[in-house]
Amino acid sequence: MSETFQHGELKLEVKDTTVTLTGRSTARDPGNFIGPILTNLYKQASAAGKAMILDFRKLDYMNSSTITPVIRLLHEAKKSGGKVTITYDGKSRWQDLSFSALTIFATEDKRIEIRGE
Amino acid sequence: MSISEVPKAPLRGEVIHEGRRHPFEVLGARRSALEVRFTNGTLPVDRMEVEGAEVTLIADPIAIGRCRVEGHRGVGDVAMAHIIPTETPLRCDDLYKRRLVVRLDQGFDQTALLQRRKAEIRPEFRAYTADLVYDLAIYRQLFDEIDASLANEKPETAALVRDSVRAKQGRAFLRFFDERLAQLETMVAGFTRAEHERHGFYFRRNVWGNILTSAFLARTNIRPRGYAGDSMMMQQLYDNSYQGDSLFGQLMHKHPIETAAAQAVRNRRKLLVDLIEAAYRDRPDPSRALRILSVACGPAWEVRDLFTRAEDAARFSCTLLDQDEEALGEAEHHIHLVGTRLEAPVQAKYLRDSVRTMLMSKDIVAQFGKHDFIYSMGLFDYLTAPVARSVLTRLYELLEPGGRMVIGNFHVENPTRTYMEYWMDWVLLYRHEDDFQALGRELPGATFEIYREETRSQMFLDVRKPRG
Amino acid sequence: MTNRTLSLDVDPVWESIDRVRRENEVFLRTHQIPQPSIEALSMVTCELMENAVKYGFFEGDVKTIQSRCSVESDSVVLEVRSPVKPGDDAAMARLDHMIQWIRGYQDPFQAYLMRLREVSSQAMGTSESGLGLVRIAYEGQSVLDFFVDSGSVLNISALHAVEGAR
Repeated sequence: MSETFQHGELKLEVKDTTVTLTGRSTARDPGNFIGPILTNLYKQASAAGKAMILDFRKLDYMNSSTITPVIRLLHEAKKSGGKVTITYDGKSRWQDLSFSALTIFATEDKRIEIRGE
Repeated sequence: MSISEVPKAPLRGEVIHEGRRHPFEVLGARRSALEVRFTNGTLPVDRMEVEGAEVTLIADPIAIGRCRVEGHRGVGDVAMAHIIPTETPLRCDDLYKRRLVVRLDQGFDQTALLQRRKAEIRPEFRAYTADLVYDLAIYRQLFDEIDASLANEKPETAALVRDSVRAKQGRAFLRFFDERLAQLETMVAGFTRAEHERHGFYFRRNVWGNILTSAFLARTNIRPRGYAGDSMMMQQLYDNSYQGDSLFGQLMHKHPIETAAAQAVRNRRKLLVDLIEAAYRDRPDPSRALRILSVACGPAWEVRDLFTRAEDAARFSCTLLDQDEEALGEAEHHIHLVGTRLEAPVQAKYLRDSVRTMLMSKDIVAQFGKHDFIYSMGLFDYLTAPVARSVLTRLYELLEPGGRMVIGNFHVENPTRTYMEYWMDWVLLYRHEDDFQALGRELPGATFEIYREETRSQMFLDVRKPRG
Repeated sequence: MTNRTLSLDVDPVWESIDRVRRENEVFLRTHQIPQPSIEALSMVTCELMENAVKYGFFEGDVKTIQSRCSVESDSVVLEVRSPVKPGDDAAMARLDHMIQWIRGYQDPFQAYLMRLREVSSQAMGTSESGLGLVRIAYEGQSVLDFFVDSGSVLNISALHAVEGAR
């Protein structure tokens, strides 16, 4: 069972506790669209004791405002003991630059993991 | 764009002690403590830990964990206290001033990421750096041994010995440093900008201990005033002496201020005095003082050099503009001292403004006045072409007919460039003669020449405005 | 030189951002700018244009945003001009401070990490991330600068050294 959310050129596909982002995230305030979806899924995943997975590999572009809700989620997960994994395309230059820096939120026990693939 | 206003509403919170909540208002902060007043008029505890505290930044309260409450001693208001977060030490000044919850140890989150960055460093560069660090350590130990052996010596005797060591082994060390720099230049010659950035970062982490021994290198890296080239650095460049507590530190300090770029800074100071004197002789209106404008003036040493006799006070009238209040204050203080020494007050005006925003003035002439000689050194090295063009055009408006304007910029061939970027973390926007040509051509009616000083590091655009 | 500069004058609406990005991309491709630089400059275009649309003051004489993309011998300069509220010196002082802070690092990666940490520290509800400008320096490999002209128009520029140039 999967659910798809669309906002402009950005598509979020939610399946189990995985969110896959595709297209381009260029909205004025993407947090309004992405934030609630991530927060809800994070709560569900935490309640089920599962890791929430954010898959950016198929994302073509995102503006800097898109990073904010992701950082906030990672910060929240780190504080509250939740599990979040971010996967990105390590061969894509922009993805590597943007997402590898998020490693500062990673935890040693891999509760929070940032993976370039 | 982070240009939002700092919230002005009072910062409030609550301390939780034995299940009860005690509201407080934050009145100020030090690095690791909040200065608060408990709004119900009494302290919940004194010199004790409480189980928790919360602060409300914008919407929901944010828990800051266990804290210690320490009542103010000898203060009339008994409800005043310091709250020190102990469970998770915080940067309380940031919490108060910027409404940010920043852990004091947050930098440690970057450890793994920064350690992994070395994978992106070219193997030959890693080998070069490792060898350099080793060789510097050898020298350091040898110089430190001499320092140690002189510890109980008479100061005059120790000073003589140190002079001798600096003259022989010290000079040999400086030559060794030169050779290693030449190798570094060859190695990074083909790097892209991104590679320079990555390798520069890696390099400085490795030689950080050596950087800190040098008063000059430490300052260019740490930048206590937020930018490189502050008045203290200028002072060090002009002094060009051995500074520091240890022989090794003195040599590490002396080496960067003996470079071509450093000499160019000293050269331009003298050149400016000569140019201003020439402008005085050639002044458009001999009935009055020559009006000078220095843009991004810094401590304005050259202005002090200009006044050597009492009659000079009547020859020149200066307007000094800078964004840095401290540098401007320093210029004012020293120029005032010059006036006192000569028993003739110097005519000087001090303006604090940014060149990037001064251009928004609708009537720039009314605001800044007209001048016979305008100069700016150490500013255009930071301006991109569109900004440089605009600043230059507006400054030209401030030039009297028959006036002269001199702009300095480090040349792309600055032989100290790699040294500055890798060791000093000092990146400039370098220009070529063609760039200055293009800038000069946009000034209506102007004639100009472009030249370099003796070391050929620093280039000057020397503009003349036609007489009316 | 005119054929090496693309100037666009667009309405301050969100849709203009993508239009300017696409036109700049085509222009840069025409001038054989390497693909990694085109990608970086596309991002820079979007971030600068977003700021102009978001924070521009279009109630005065100037009602549009001007974008210029200039190809130099070893660099590309992007400029975005948008009006600011006259007299809002405090906002310009903060922008000045921010840009000088970013440019204080040889490696803008350091500035980017600092900013990420600060964003995570900000209370929920703060919409501005402040990451856009830092990202221009770090991911966009560009040197930022700005000035405000006498018509209260902010000209913010990004100088990008084309791959291979220092």
